[in-house]
Amino acid sequence: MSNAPDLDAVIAHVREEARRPEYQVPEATPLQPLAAQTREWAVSGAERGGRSFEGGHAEYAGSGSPPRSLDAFLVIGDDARFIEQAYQCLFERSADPVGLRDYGSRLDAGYGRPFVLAALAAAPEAGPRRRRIQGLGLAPLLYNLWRVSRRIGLEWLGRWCNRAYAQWRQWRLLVDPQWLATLQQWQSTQQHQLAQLDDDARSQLKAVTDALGRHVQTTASSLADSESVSSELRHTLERLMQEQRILQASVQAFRLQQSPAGGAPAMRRQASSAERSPPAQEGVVDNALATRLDTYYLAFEATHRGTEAEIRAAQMPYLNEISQLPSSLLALPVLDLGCGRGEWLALLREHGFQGRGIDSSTAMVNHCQRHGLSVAQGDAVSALEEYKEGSLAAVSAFHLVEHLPFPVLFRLLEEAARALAPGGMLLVETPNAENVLVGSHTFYHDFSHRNPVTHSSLDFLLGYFGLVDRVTLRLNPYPPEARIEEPTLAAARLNGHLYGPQDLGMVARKPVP
Amino acid sequence: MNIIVTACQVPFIGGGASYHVSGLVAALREAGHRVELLRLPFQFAPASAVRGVMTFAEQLDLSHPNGQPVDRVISLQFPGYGIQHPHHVVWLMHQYRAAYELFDQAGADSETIALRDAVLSFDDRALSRVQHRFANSPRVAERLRHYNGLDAEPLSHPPPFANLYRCAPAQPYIFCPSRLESLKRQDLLIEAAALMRSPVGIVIAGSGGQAARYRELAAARGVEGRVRFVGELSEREKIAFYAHALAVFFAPYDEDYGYVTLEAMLSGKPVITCTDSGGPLAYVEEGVTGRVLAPEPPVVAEAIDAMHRETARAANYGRAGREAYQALNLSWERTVDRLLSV
Repeated sequence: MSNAPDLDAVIAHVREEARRPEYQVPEATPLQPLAAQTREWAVSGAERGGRSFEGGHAEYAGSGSPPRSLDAFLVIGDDARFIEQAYQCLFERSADPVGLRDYGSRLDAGYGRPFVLAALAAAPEAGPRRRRIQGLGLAPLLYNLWRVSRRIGLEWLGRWCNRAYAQWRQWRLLVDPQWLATLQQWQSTQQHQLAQLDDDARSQLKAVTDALGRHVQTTASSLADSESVSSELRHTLERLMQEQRILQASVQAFRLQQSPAGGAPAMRRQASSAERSPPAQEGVVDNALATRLDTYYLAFEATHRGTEAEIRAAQMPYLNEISQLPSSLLALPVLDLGCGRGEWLALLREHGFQGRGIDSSTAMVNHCQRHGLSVAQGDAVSALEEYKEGSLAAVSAFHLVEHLPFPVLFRLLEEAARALAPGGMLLVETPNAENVLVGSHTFYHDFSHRNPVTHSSLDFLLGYFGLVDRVTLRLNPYPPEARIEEPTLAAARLNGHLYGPQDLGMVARKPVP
Repeated sequence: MNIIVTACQVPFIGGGASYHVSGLVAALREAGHRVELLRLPFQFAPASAVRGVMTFAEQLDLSHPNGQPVDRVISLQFPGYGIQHPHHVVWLMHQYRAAYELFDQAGADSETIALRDAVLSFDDRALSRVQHRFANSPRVAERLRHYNGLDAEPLSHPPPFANLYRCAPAQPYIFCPSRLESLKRQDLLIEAAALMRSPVGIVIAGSGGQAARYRELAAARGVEGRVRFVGELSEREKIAFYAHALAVFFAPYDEDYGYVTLEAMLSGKPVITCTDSGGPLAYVEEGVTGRVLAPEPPVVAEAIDAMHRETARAANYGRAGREAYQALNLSWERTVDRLLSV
């Protein structure tokens, strides 16, 4: 059978891939202890002072699977167990001591469980699992409000709103389950508004406070209709409305402070025209030298980035991600910034995507063109500027962002977010500075590297430009034999920091309006 | 509501049925009901064992066990639907197939024929006195109409872990997950492998009574080079094998429902099935979401070669399959709502 594929290699590869976290299957509900789950529910009710609850909360199955709605999280007995369950639900792992301590002290300070859940759901580690928790209501909005309020020195206000909301949710759960439906309607409005967050922190703050104001008014007016509502709750909501007006006034003041300085637009223009020169040629006027540096870089890549075949294999995880693009976008091009030798473009071509590349190096561009790839020479920002808004299915940048001064990186992502079609995807890969050996040593092998780009800053930056569903890929760990083979916590920690993943990938989508 | 769900328990034999049962119980609990699952031990032989459990079921009255109120009984399988209850709803997964479409008239002795008759009259009796009849699939409803003259409303449900299925770049293999039984017809695929010209491998997953026979067949046809038996897979491995497949082969003989079809569609993969495969035909559209073929090895071989030749077309089938799945709008919530609305 001469034409048989290397089936065993393919099978081994698929089995290996199945071990990755995205293939994690929730534990199957055991069939036998069905009655036990009902008992667990009754116990958790009893823990809260002997009240019993009827119906509607069956999703809380005690120690078996974590709860899936905010209300179910609210009725968990003690805070430590609540944090543990939240971690299990959103991160599929146990809470670490730091998390337990930090979120425990937030709860002690009265931020409330909705706040903690929203904070955990907003963490990159939660990824798409953040959609698991139903009925978060205003929690994500109020969490964002707190973040913004902290930035402008009004943290007390953010904390206060969150506490009031937590108390209200708790109260509502005990008194009147009917409100759930009403809140769910609001939630869709809020999510829409959150998706609209743009690059301007002030308008973001305004949108959030406006939305909050509307919700509070809606609540207040529906509450006024209801006879059964306690005056205590009405009082709380009136205070909330008042605080919201103060916040809105602060926003206005903040905006006035900022605007006379000339504003951000001028700064941005400056950034895009600066630093156009490709990384290897920065500060070099001599053309002949530029060419020799170019050639050096090609040789350097060949030695240090691995063979083209190795790179193609390393890029498979990104192919998995990009194959999730909605079919409506497949006719649009995928633009690869800093395409280098074009391994990714070749992979895209094989799988039916319309790949296009841009690179500053003549040598790289020639190399790609010889392989029939559609690649042009130029700098990434101007290339992106050529594309109309919403005209790209995906934009990728492998090992590019760490070469760029921040103003250029900023422009690059700003333009990428603009040029992407709704639902389109941005893929970025950079050396993973969480790995100490990478951050302190191997990163500097490449003279054209400027500074490591950290996971947190990259994640924030993508979020800042309104990209959602951000997924982190931590790839290419040191080989297992490099690890310290000792079953101690210290060894585990060292292994994590020294021999963990060397590359950091982030995939994010432009929201569909 | 207090609900009793009844099903069979066939020790150490897994398959889609167990998922269906646990999925229903979990969904009812999710909707806030108190649920007890009653499983009747079942064995296919001897005939007296089948008769015994039939009689047991029919004599069991669950209207008020120990004075406890029971608002509904929902039965999924033979012979649980014989249990007495004033509000008994049947959601038929399948009947006792050995007495129906799998009945072998020629090879049957008098005892088998007597059992068949007993099962038929049990089904006529039990199924006509229940409150409402649903069927797991259009195919199961069709059989009930054909053999017992009773109507049933087809009611589908999502496969387990539906949200975890994903599509990834196709590798050159055809994936065939099923129990290794004659009815699942892996032999059709193995015979086809001997005729294929394209460099495509065959990955057969699962265990079952025909494992040895299928391995021997692969050896006899000299296709061990391109056929691999990977045994039982974990859920996550199964999802990964679907994700990377070029296409999924699922061509059982007259299947009831078959999660494989829906799982392949969720994974954005074309389904290769046959004109007499039953359940899958409700979802696979020839030349749109996959291929519906005559159950003959040369036809299957040619279809697989074509998939390999035109990967873009195969990918389009898969994409159309995924979209078709989404259009079905399957959810346990809706399924349970419908079940409890009668």
